[in-house]
Amino acid sequence: MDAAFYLQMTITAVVLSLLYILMASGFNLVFGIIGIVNFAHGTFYMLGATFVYWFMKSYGWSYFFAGIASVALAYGIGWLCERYLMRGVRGDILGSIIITLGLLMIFQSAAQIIWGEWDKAVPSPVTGVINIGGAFLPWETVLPMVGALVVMMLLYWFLMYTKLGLSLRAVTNNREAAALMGININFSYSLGFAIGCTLAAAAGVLIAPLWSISSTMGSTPLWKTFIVVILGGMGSLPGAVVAGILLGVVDSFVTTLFSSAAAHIFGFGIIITILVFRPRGLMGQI
Amino acid sequence: MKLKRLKLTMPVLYIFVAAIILLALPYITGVNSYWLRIFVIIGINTVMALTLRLILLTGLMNLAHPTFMAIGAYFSIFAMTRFQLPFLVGLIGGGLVAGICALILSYPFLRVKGVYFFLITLTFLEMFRIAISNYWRDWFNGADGIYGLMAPTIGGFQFTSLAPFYYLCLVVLLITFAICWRIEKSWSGSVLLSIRDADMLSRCVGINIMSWKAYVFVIGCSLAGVAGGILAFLVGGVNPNNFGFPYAVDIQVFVIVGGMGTIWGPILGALLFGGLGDFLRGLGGYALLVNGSVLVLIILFLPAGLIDFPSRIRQLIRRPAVDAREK
Amino acid sequence: MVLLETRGLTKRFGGLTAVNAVDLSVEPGEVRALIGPNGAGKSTIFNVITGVYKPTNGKIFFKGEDITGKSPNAIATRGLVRTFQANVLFGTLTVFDNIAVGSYLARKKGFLQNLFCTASTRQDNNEINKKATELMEFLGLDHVKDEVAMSLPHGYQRLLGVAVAIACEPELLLLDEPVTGMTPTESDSMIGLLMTVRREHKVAILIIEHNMRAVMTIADRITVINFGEKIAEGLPKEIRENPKVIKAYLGSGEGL
Repeated sequence: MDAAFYLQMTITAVVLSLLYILMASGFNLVFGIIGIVNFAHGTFYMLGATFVYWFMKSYGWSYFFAGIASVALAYGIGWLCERYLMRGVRGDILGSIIITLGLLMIFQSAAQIIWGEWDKAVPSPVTGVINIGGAFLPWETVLPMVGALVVMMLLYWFLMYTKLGLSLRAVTNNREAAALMGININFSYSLGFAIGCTLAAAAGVLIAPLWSISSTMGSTPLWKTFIVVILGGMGSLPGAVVAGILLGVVDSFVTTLFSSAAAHIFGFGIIITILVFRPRGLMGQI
Repeated sequence: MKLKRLKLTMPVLYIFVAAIILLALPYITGVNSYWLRIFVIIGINTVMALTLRLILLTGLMNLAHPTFMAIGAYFSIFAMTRFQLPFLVGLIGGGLVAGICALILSYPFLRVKGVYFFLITLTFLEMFRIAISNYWRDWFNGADGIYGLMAPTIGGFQFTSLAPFYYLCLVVLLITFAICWRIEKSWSGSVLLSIRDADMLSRCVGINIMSWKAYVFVIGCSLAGVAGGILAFLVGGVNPNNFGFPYAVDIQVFVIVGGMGTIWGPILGALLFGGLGDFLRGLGGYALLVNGSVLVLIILFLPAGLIDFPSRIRQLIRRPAVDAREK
Repeated sequence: MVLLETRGLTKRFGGLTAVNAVDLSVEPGEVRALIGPNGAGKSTIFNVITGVYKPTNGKIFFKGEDITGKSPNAIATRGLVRTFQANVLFGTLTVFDNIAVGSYLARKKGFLQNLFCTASTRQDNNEINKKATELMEFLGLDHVKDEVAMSLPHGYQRLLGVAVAIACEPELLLLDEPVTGMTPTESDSMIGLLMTVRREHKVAILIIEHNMRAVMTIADRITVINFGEKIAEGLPKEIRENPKVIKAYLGSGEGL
């Protein structure tokens, strides 16, 4: 096994980790703020990638422009969903699972119907390689990494340094007190859900040039999200980061050395083990 | 006195008529007809929905319900094809094996609640499906499944048409219904609901919630196993994808769209949606869209399920009259 | 023989010591009040005694048996039942069903025997129905017996919480702030009921309460807890005059 092999595995690990962190952060944000489980999370990932493809193919926009528009569109859809569909299931985990399952089915089938027949490959906006200390990395792989880091930093800045972000953290911490302080809870819920969906869509946008797009591409990321979220602790953003890195590394190694089915089963094993022995995960509170 | 006797006979009359229809159904539709097959499938789905709901009474949404059906199905297949056991032994054995698996899994699974239980059963569902699709190929034949099963026989009588399947399914359905009814209407039902509503209080008044949860979990999964055995021989074979996430969601739809609150909800749900398999397949890509839309609409507008529909309508009709009077 | 006894009961949550080496005892048929400022650790003591938490240190004895670390349902089966500070009820069940579930314990039958409903259990059911109805009439709940628990007003919910506990026919009743949030009329009524129950069913009561009038009326002896430690114990008259207690708690202006 030569250096290139290990390099490849490491690159995959980094890309996967960042992807998982993005997805899990979005999911945990929604769980922490509203107390619901968004089964349609993987579908927003799929929509992010699909929208980028659609904007680039049908309107000829550049990747960056299409990406931003895609994320904005996902934000809008997420907002509308929370505002009009999810009011009744707040805090009701079972109800939220059912209704987001319904959303999953609607989005997935809609995507299949509208774009199903198209040959979906998103051309990469960048070509060539970059030379880092003697190793050659394709720009194509570096771009998603950089993009994901940018998004994570934006999220961190938003949550920690803006008033809106502070209000969201307040709602996560203590809903009633936040309401008493004048924070508009309805607005916070819609905002939180929309941002959660946006993060999933952003992951989809960043991955689009690397992997193929299909209407069912959201199901594996959804599983990975569950694994990361359970491992890290439901509702915990730091947990999402730590667990995202762990799973990214493990997945990369297991998939390369064995097979993706083995990685799948390993992931399931993680879920069951954690849920049986330490349901709150590494950093969760419940 | 006379009026009272009249009142008593009405529900009895309904039951009598319903019983006649149920018993004579195969001869109404034709013993090998397409419609009879649909009714048997509806019957099997009703068993699945009723048992899922039984477990749901304790607040546990068992997403691995199809897995226990699969265990029963595969066991009854192996019983007949590899061990040359009579069909009925295999069928009941399948139920028992499914129940034993449920019992073993009770200890790890029933310790968690709510969304964690949902996730752990979902994981188990997928793990099982992937495992039997990829490993032990000489037993399970991978994702292609096992087909070409012979028609079963019970006590020398061979199942030459759909009618025996129908009656067998009817018996299992009636047993399932009786068990669910008895448990729910008795004070046991209150205990189960108490676990759902406030399990700490339940424990503090002396209820061993693990035992009670295991009780309904094992019974529910055993009956699912029996249903699996019937399905396997009705269709003539099984493959792992019959018991995956889509079917698990389907059973949930039966229960929730029909109505979780009463025993009639799952029956209504399975009746309306359980026979739609072929119809939906005909819709192609739109099937999932319809399925999802129904789910969302029901949760939004009729969260108590379709069974609640009449009383909701009555509420809506009553209100304008009241407003008019108050003016 | 002492009914309930804790020896050196300690509970730590990470770095926080919520209960520190508390020795408590309750005699059969006695009413013991547990008072102290908010956050003193009184509810934690309840949680440890009833098995909701496992103690970090110390032991608990009930009727001479070591119940330390046993599960809540095992402890309840032995005759120790509690209520909760918050309104914890079986929300979707009716008042009648709530009490019927509580009387599970009174049936004194094993789990397996309740599996199948046969004629003998039908007789049980009638017995339970009768007892539940009597209890509801006694507590003034029978006019709401078919109401769903979560739709009841606060005072009735509190009353129902106590009713469920009484339905278990315990030997020791742990009541966590039963009259908090009630009007003076309601709380007098509740205290009167508790005294009747104690007298007629020979139930010992360990009660956490902030309402000093209620405490002084009903308690035989009082234990005062502050910062997780027992700071005083004795007859109501002694506690009223104890300077440490007055400083810690009663000095806040509560009427005596």
